[in-house]
Amino acid sequence: MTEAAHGVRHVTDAAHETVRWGQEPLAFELVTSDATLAARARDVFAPWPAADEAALAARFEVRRVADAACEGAAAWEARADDGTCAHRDTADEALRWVELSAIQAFVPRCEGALALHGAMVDFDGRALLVVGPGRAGKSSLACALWRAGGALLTDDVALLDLATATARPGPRRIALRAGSAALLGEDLWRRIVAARSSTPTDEGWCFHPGEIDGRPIPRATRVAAVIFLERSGRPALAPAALAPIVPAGAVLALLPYVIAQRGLDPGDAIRRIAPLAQDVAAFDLARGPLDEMAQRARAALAEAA
Amino acid sequence: MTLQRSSPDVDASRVGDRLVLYHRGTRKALVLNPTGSWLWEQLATGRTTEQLTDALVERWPALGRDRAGADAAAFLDELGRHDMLSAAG
Repeated sequence: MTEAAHGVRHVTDAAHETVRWGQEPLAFELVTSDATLAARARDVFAPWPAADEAALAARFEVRRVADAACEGAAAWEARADDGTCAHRDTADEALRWVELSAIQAFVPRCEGALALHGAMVDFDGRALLVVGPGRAGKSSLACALWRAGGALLTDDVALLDLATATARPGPRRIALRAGSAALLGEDLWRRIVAARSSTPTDEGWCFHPGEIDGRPIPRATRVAAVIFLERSGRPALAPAALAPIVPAGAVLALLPYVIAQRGLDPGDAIRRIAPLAQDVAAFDLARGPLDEMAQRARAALAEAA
Repeated sequence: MTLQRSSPDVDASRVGDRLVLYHRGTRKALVLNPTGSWLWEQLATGRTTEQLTDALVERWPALGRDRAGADAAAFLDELGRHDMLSAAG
């Protein structure tokens, strides 16, 4: 039997349900005999319905193993078709493992697109890509831009179609640390925590922004500007100052954020990024008061052709 | 005088008015400014420091021979330190 729920197709037989999701051109499947987990998976993967013709990138099976011989006291076992396996205490934790493993299976096969580690916020079909080293404040800036009216697309993986300078978020929820509550305000944080597909993590919560603000994830958005936080070798800047980067400099600065893909060496990455860097404005943004940084980032978007 | 030429192990990608050089062996990358990018293109067929100096003076006469010579030598030195050059024999 096939039925549609929240746009994510799932198939049930007597013993198992299959939940299918994806991001063009690939799909994933999760098979489980646990109806509650299947329902939860349909919520979690709802924003990414897979096209019928999408090739299967990975298949996962999640099952209760409370009575099975299993390391530790884990109650759930999640297993991928590449043989990797994880044991988790809760169904939500098992689903998070599947979500992360799906991204890891997805990126190397994503030919024709370049996967970059970064946050992306869309304003009316024009996106700001925010990149920087760990703890540079990508998520904080992305949250501030979300509060300023942008659509928060990803805080983790952006897939760039270099031929069209368009980008899509990787099929994964946003994960924010609990400290982000102060940035987003109590009311918004409460809505995040209460949202249907939200899941607590060790550090905070992961969630679908679309569930909070009602905006669907766009199929693609045009990358209009790249914001670099804490770029190595950048000139000294005043707090929250914005400074343009020459396109060739942006190419090198983007390299550390390219996620490894099959057959892609740094030389290929340079060749592939070069046309994008030529068309997309790039800026350094210095650390400063967050609202000011968000304001400057929006100025960068306005300045970008 | 040693002829210097761009290493065959280096890929050059033009981005605007600059070149990004990538050495496939050492996996190092460099960005050349517009003048450096122009000089790099001169190295495709092999040039001595003198020849590079002549080319610089011809293109930018206001530079003066002394300054052009120093710039050409510094440029070749920088590229050599990054293994971006090979002796042309």
